[in-house]
Amino acid sequence: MIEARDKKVPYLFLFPAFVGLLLFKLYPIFSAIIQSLHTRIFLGEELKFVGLNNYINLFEDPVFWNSLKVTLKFNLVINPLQIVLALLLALLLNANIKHIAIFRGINFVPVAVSVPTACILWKIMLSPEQGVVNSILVALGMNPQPFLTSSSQALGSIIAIASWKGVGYWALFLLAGLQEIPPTLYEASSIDGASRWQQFRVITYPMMKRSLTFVVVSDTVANMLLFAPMYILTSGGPNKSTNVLMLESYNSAFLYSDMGRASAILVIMVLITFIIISIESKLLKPEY
Amino acid sequence: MTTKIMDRRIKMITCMILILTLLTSCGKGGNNKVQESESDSSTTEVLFIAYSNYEEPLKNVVDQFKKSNPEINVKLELAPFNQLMETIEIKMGAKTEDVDLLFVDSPLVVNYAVKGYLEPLDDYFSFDPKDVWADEAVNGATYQDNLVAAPLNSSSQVLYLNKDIFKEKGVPLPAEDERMTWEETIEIAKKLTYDTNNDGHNDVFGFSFDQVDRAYQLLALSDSLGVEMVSEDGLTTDGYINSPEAVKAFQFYYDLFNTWGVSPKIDREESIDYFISGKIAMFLGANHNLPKLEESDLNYGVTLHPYFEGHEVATPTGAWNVGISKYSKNKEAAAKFLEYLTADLEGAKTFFEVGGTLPVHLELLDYIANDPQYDDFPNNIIRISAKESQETAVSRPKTPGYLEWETNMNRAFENIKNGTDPKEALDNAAEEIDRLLKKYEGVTE
Amino acid sequence: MNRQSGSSWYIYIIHIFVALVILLPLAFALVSSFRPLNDIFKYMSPVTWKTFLPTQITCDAYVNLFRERGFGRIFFNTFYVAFVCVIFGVILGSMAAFAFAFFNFKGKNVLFLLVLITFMIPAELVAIPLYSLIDRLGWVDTYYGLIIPVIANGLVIFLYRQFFMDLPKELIESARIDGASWIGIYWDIIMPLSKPVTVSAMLLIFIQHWESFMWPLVATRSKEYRVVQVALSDFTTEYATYWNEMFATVIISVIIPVMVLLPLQRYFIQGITHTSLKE
Repeated sequence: MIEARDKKVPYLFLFPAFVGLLLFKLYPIFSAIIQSLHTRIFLGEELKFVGLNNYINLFEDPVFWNSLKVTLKFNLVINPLQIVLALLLALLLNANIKHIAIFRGINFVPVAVSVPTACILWKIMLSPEQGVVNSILVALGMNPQPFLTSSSQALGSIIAIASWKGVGYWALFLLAGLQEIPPTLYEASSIDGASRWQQFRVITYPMMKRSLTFVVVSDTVANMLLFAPMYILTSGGPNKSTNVLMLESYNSAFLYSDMGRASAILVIMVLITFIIISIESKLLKPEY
Repeated sequence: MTTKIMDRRIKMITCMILILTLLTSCGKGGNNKVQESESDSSTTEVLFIAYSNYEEPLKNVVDQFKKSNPEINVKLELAPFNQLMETIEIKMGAKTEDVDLLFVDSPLVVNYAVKGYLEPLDDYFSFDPKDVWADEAVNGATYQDNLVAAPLNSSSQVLYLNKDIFKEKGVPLPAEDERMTWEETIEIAKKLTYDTNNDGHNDVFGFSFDQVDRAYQLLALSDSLGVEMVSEDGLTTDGYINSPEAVKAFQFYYDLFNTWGVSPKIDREESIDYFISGKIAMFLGANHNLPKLEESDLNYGVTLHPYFEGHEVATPTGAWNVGISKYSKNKEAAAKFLEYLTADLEGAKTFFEVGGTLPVHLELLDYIANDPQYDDFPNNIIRISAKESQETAVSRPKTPGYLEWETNMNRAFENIKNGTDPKEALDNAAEEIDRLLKKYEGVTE
Repeated sequence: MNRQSGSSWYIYIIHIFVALVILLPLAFALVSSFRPLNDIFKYMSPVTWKTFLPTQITCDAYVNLFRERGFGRIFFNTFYVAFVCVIFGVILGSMAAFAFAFFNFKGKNVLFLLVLITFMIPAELVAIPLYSLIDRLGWVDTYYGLIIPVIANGLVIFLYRQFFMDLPKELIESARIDGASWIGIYWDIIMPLSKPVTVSAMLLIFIQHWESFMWPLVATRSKEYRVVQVALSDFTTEYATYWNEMFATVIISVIIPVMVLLPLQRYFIQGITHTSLKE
C-alpha cells in the first residue's frame, strides 16, 4: 500500500464517484431505512414513527418466514450452480481451438436478452399445455411436465431460466481472468508432467481468485435481488413456492400500500446479503 | 517512451472532447424544454398519466380539446398496463406536483382516496354526475359521497364461438340472444374437446376464459351464486371468499381444468391467441377483443354470458376512471380537460369512436341502443355488451385494500387451475388477505 | 499453448450441445418473428417441421417496428444513453478503484463498505426517494434524469479494484521516482494495462443499461426519450399481445449487442500480452 505524501490524493480520486453514489444510491437507501421505521397514516399526509414495529410484525408473519426459506433455498442452489457452470464454460471457451470466437459469440447471446424478455420467451416454451418443450417431450414419447405450474418444479424451472441467461455473462468475466494467466506457467508444468486437474488446482485456481471473487460476490448479490422472473412467471406461486423476499418487498411497496414493510424487508435482505458475501470473500481470500 | 506518452495524451484529449460534445448535446435536451415552457408562459401544461393502450383515442380528444382551449396544453405520459400502477405509486408517493391527471382502475378508487391521491371533483363539475353517466359507473367512482374520479369507459364479456369447430363436431350453434346455463355450456364443451392427431393429448378445447386466473372475470361465477366476496366494511374476507357457496363456484373453475379437462391450462396473455388459432371452441371474452377478431380470418359467432342454472345472471364489468391529483398545481385546467374527455358529448364520443371501448356516458349508451348500425353482427356485440353492462353487471368488491385482495385472489385462482383443492386455496387466501387488510382498520366509517 | 488441438473433437461436441441449448428459444423467436401474428400459436403443437419453419413468411413485424413504433429512435436513445453511461462509468469507477487499490487512507474500509452496499439494493424499491430527488432537480423527462443517477456504479468500482490489486506495486513506486504525477500514473500506466478489465466493465455497464426498465419508465415520459425495454413492454396490452413484433424486437435486441461485443473480443485475447507483469 502506498501512503501519498499529500493526504488529499486518494480522496480526490474518490470524489467524482462518491458524489454520484451519495446522491443517487446512498441517499435513497438511507431514506428506505428511515421509511422502515414509519408507517403510513391513511386519509392523512404524514407518516407515523413506529420504531421497530414493522420488523416485529414481519417476524410474526408466516409469509415472511416462508419467503425467507424460499430465498435461501433458491440462493443455495442457484449460486453454486451458476458459478460452477460459468467456470466450466469459461475453461471451455478458453480452449485453443479453431472457430472458438463463434462459440464465444453464441454464449454471449442470452446476455443480450433482457430478463423480462427471457422470461416471456421461456414462459411460452414451457407452457404446460402446448409449449414447445412439452411438444418435444410428447414427440419423444415422454409425458408432458407442468414446469412453472407445479410447486415442486417451479423454483427449479426459474433457476434453469436464470442460468440460461446468467451463466454466459459470468463466464465472460472469468474468461477475462483466465486470459490473464501466463501460458508459460502451463508450459512449465506440462514439462513437469502435471495432469490437467493438477494444473487447475495449482495454477488456474490461485491465479484467478480475484476475478472469481468478483463473480461470486456479484452473482450472489444479483441472485439475492432477483425477483423479475418470479414476478413475471409465477407471481410467487404456485402455493408460494417461488415467493422470494424481494418479491414480497416489491408487492408490499406497490400493491399492498405498505412502504414500511417493504423497506423493512429490504433492510433485512441487505443484512443477509452482506453476511453471505463477507463469508464468501473470506473463503476466497488470495494468499499472496 | 515519450512518444508513447504523447500518444496517450492525444488520445485523452480526443476523449475529453468527445465527452464534452456529448455533455452539450445532453444539455440541449434539458435546455430545449426550459425554453419551450418559457416562451409560451400563458399556456398551462396539464400532465396526464395514462394507460398506453389508449394512446390513439386520447390523442384525438386532446387535439380536439386544443382547438377550443388553446391555453391548455395536455401532455400524455403513457405507461404499459403492467406498470401503470407502479408508475402512479412512485410518482404519487414522491408527492410530485408534476402529475395533474391520472388513470384510476374502478376498484382502486377507494384505495387512492384513502391514500390521499385524489382531489374530490364535486367543486369542479357544475352538473350532477348521475345525469351524465350510468349509475353503476358513478357509484364506482364515489368515495364517502364525493365523486373522486370521472368514469371514462366500461367493459363487458360475451361468449365468442368458433363456428368451424361446432360444424366439425356437428354440434348446433347456440342462438345469439340465447343465454345458456353453465351446465349446458360444459356439456357442449365436452363434445368439442378432442385430440386431432392421436398422440393422446387434447389439442382442441371446448372452453376458455379470456382473462384466465383474473378476479375481474372469475367473479362472475361467484356473483351468479350470489356470494359476497368481502365484508360490508371491506376489511374481512374469512367467511366470505371461502364460504361454501364461494367454494362451490370455484370448484367449477377447478373442474374445468382438472376434472373435465375442457379448458387448457394457459395464461391470460395466450388465451386470445389460442382462440384465434382455432384451438378453442367457446371463448368468454371482452367486447374489446372484437377488433382483433375482425382482423383475423376466424369464422366466429357470439352468444350471451352463461349463468348457473336456477341462479342469478351476473356478468363481469370493469372500468377506467380519471382522477385529479391532490398535489397538482393546475387543478382548474385539469378539471376542464377532464370534463371534456368524460362528460362532454363531443369528447366522450371521440373517445368511444376511436378507442372502441364501451362508453358510460348516458347519451352514448342511448345512441348504441337505438342506432341501426348496431343491429347486425359483428357490431351488435357492442350493443349486447352495453346492455349487459347496464343490466347484469356486478362490480368488484369495494375495499380500501383492493390490490391486496385481488393479488391474493388471482394467486388462489392460479393455484386452483393448477390443481390445488379450491377450499384449501381460498382458506389460505382469506388468511393472508385479512392480515394485509388489518392496516386499514379505522379508515372506513 | 496449453490446450493441444489433437484431442479437441470432444470439446467441439460439448460446444455444439451448449450452443443448441442456448439457441433453442431464440430460434423459436426468430421463426415466430417472420410469421403473421395469427399463425404464431398454430403450429406449436404437435411438433412438426412447421414448428420451426414458417409456412408463410412476412416481414410485417420488422416493418411495423421501425415505421409505426419508431424503433429507430428507441434504439438510438438506448445506445446514446448507454454510451454516455459507459464512458463516464468507466472513468469514475476506475478512479475510485485506483484509490481503493493503491492507497492507505482514513475511512477506507467504511467507504468501501458503502460502495458494496450501493449495489445490493434493487432500483425499483428505492425509486420513490430517487424520483422525488430528480423531480426537485427538474430532471424529469430529460437525458440528465436518465443518465446521471446511474453513472456512479459500485459494481464497476469493485470490478476494477479486484483487478488493480493484482498489479505489482513496484510499477507505481518506480514511476513516482521518475517524477510522474498521480493522475499521470493512473492514466498513462494503470489504465493502458487495464484493457481487458475495461472491456468487462464496459460490458457490465452496457448490459445493466440495456436491461434497465423501471427507472427509464418513471424518469421520462416523452417518446423521444423512450428506451428499448420500456418499448418492449408495450407489446403486452390488456387485450392482446403482439407476439410477432415482440419476437422481432428480441431478435434485433440480441443481434445489436452481439455485434458490439464481437469486435471487442480482441481485447480479451490481448490480455495475455500483459501477463509478464504478474510474475
